[in-house]
Amino acid sequence: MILSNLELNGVLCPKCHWKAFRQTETCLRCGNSVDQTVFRGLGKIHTYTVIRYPPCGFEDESPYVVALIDLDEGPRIIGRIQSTHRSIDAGATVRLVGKRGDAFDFAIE
Amino acid sequence: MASLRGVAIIGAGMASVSVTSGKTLAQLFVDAATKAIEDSGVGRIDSIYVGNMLSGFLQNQEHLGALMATALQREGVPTYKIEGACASGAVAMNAGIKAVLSGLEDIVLVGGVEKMSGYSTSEVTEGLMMAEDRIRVASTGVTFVGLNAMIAREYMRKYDVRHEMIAEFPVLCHANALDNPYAQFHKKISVQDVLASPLVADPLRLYDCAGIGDGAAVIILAPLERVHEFTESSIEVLASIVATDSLSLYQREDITSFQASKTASRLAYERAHIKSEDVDVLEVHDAFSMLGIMALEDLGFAEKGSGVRMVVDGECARDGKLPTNTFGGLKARGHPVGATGLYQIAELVLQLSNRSGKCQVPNANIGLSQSVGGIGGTVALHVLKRCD
Repeated sequence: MILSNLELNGVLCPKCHWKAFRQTETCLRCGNSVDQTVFRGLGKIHTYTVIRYPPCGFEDESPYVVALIDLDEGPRIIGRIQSTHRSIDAGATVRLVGKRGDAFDFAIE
Repeated sequence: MASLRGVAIIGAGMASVSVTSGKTLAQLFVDAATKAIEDSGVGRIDSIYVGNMLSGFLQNQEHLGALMATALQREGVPTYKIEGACASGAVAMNAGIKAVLSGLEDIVLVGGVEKMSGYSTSEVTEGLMMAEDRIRVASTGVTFVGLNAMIAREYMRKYDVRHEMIAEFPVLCHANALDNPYAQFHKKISVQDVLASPLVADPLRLYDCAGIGDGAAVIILAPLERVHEFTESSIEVLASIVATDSLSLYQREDITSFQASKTASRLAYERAHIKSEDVDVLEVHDAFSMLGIMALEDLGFAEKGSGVRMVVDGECARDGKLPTNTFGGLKARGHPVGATGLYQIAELVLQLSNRSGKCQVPNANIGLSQSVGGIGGTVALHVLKRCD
């Protein structure tokens, strides 16, 4: 899978190794200044739901799965899980496969 | 803090929660405010605080401060509109209390109002998502039911709790609302009804979720030293706390607990000089069944994972050890979001002043209310005490 234009930008603290999927200039754990980093886009589903009553603009897509994903590097992210014949469950390995607007799409590996 | 003057509640009023009243925002507010002003016996009002979340999005109406002052024929008073998502009403209460504490204002009217009827579920769902991070979270198409469903799934896994146990919470609320004339729903339900209702966002079902409703609730505040001018018995505000957490679930390590609830309750008990076991009557933010259970734990009444036991064992019933959501809670009294925090406070006022009719619980001296904004990004707590 080619991840062109698909970057999960986050921060990494060189001192205490705190990593986060958020924009900040200082480490929220130790106060050191942080470096920019890019996460690989591989992770595991922490928890998920199936949206059956969507907000405006998403009506044509429902039902769809949204999950909290623990990236292999540590940080947690929220994203859509693309529909698949594979069963979805907490702990399943997922990979970043796309982006729609500001939202990240993952697929079960 | 000992030098601050005391703050008392001298009046409360509520509009019935409904989707069929046809009332405008201003009519809802005036309905509740007129009852509260009459209840308090005040003439002059020094300021008005209005809690609301969705009027700009749904009704294309802002400037609620002047709108409500005009509707109440109180032009001239300073007014403030306060927004804190679903906790807007309780956060407005906090602001009104600070105004009295400051000594700059004496008689303060705090009201919450929301109108949610007349719109599609998609429109209301989109409006409620304004409480989340637009870029990182709302962009995925997740809804607030969905966010709470992800909490519920993880909670049930982590603590090995079954849905039928969590479903006891809405059952309790519907039973309590049967005796509340202001409640949106007067319908007894069973655990089986909850589990058989349609899925909204797996695993949460329709009867796990509070509905869409219109409503308004209003409180009148006064300095404790002036209470005798208006009423013989009043309710003292022992603590009013607003706490925050990171806005979104993905920014937290443990999603089965609201850190803002824990922080706020620790501060509230400290400031009120009470322990959790001193609370006689409790109102929690059960927008979803799971949140009712989590509140019992985060506020210090049960260990993590064991909140369901309190409900299953009858401790939360009106004749139990800790009567909870005695008028039906968000699930059955209704959840007109910006007004909800003030319904909770108005209901505690009725309990503590022994004016709750069939909803009355015995020996209620200290009450606690918990209001949650967003997915726990804001939590507002109030500790109230009967003073004779």
